[in-house]
Amino acid sequence: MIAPLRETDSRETRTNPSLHVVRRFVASTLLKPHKASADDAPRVPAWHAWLFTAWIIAAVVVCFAAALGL
Amino acid sequence: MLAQLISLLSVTTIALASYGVGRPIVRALDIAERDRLATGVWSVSLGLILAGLLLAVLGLFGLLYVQAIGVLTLIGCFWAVGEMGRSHIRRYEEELLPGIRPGQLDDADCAPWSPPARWLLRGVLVLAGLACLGSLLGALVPPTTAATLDYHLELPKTFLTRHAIYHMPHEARSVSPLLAEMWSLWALALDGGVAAVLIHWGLGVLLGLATVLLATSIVGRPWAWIAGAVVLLVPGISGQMAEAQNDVALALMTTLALGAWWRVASGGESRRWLLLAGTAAGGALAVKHTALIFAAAAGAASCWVLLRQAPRRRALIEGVVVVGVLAVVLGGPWYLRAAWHRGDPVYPFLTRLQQAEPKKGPGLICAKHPPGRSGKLNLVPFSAQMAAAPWHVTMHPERFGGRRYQLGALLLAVVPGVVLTRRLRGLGVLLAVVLAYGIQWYLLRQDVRLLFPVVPLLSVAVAWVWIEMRRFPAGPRVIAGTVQAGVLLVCGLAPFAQCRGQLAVAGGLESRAEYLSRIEPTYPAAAVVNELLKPDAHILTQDTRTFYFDRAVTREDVHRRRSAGYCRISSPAVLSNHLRGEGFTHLLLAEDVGLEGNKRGTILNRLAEAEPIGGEQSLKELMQYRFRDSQGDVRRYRLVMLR
Repeated sequence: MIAPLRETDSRETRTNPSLHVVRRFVASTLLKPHKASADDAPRVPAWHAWLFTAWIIAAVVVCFAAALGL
Repeated sequence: MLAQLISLLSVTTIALASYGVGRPIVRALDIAERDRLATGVWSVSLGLILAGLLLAVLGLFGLLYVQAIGVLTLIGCFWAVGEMGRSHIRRYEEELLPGIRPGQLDDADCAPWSPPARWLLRGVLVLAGLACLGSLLGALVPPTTAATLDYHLELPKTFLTRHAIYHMPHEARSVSPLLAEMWSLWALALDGGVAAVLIHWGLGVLLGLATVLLATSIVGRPWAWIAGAVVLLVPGISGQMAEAQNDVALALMTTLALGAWWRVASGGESRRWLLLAGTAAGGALAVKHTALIFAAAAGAASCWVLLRQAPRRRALIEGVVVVGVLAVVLGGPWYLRAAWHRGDPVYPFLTRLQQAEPKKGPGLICAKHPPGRSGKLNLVPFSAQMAAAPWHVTMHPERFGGRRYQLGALLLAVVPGVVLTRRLRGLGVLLAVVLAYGIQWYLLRQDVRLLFPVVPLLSVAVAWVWIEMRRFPAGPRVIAGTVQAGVLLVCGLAPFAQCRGQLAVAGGLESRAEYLSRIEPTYPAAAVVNELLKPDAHILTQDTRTFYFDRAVTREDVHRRRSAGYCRISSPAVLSNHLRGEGFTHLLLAEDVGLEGNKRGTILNRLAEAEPIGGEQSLKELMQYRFRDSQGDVRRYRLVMLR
């Protein structure tokens, strides 16, 4: 004999729909996107990366200095 | 505030009418239906090109009447509403019958690499939105810059007043390609100068979206949004979105043409895209001569594609022919018109070249400037400076046309990163176009505004470098990312800084008349002329700014060149008789005050000084005021009636 299941009260969701949208927006903003096949490529050598970073910093600093008339 | 709303409504009406013109063509071609963004961008752009050509044809036949333009605009709007209703019904049917649904562009399947982090995508889009909002505030300000009033708005206003497009012997630009000015004319017919500037703001937004379409084929749609946002964050682009010039319009047309061509040449999509590519290329030729330089650069890159894709060579050559023929048919008439009137299809370029050629003969020294320099080159051709040109253009844009057209630090800082990245199919061809265009730019005319057509191409490279930067070690990635974020933040907020003194008039808190009275030197005189003088009044003015006058106005320098005996007049009475005989009723005298050499001092000033103006004399002063410009120079303006 199968014991009858007791009916449970349906859970009331009191979440405001717009709040729900905001929660989803925040969560999707913070979640990492899915990985794709080309993402598994080897990392760029560190010295390449540092060299490029130095170039970016130099270009930006000189450009802003020129804009400010320094 | 009401004036601002009316201007915005006018521009919305123009956009809607353009959509109504272009949408049936896009639907008939049946090539962009899967992609709503492509459908919208191409519909509006095609509509703008065709409407501009229609206005030009009306102008050549002397039919440029405000009423006619208004009726045609309304018809276009109603057609657009019908098109939107049709699209809505179509979507409804597709939801009911999934079998006929063509399927939307799936963002996730567009590229083999993962999309950008959502915080990155949303952050960059928010900054681009801020830049657009700031430039929108600037666009809502009545135009006062010389660059805008010079001929971009003055010519359409004159054409509209005379109901015809005609050749002005004293105005070289009246025979230039004038498609962008036709759009300004459309806005002037419906509203005024603010609506004309707003049109160009809309063209800037379209440029960002066109970049998304171009980049989608190369880096996928999610990253293409970033490329589009980068374009809008270039300070020169966002700055010119608040002015009624034609460089952003040219960049839009070249980007659309290249994007459509790319779909066929590289993507192997329907050859009907060639029709759109040809139309956009014709639009580019009809906007500005510089399109020829871009066409040469794109042609050189296309040759490379032809060499690489031997099996499809015949199809590609046919495509080149189709695009070329359409472009010549749509854009060529402007060049024929220039050749007819001036004997130079790209006037004044070839004329200057002829003037710069050295006279042949023994012992003669060669011309000081090489052909094509025209005093516009700051860097020496074929020298080491050529390699450093991107650096100079970014760091010192004031030497290349002005800091307000600068490209900003981001492109220079990030694009060189492509040497560290993996090869990306298609990016090399884009960069080849940039290189070919840049070399021609360097040799012909070094003006930073003329680099706008390559900004969308460089933005695709920026997006690819950002994709590849995810393979950097954490340290340099975070530092480089932080620096670039700072640059983007500054670029996003820069348009607000540029219009900080104009927020009151942009927001409707200050009336346009009050603002113009403060900023525009000729506006007080124009207000009096428009209010008091009869419609048949004709004013001879010493100031070159005549946009805000509703009566006929002739510049004194133009009249001086036209009238042989004018410079020999020696008495005020004879001057008055001469000018009245020429049909003038009033003079607007402008004199620099407090300068050693009066730059505006001409026969008019001397004669007016010789005779006390007023009383029963031949010249009667109606008003006088002094105006101090932003540099602190003071000018005295006098409105004088001829008797």
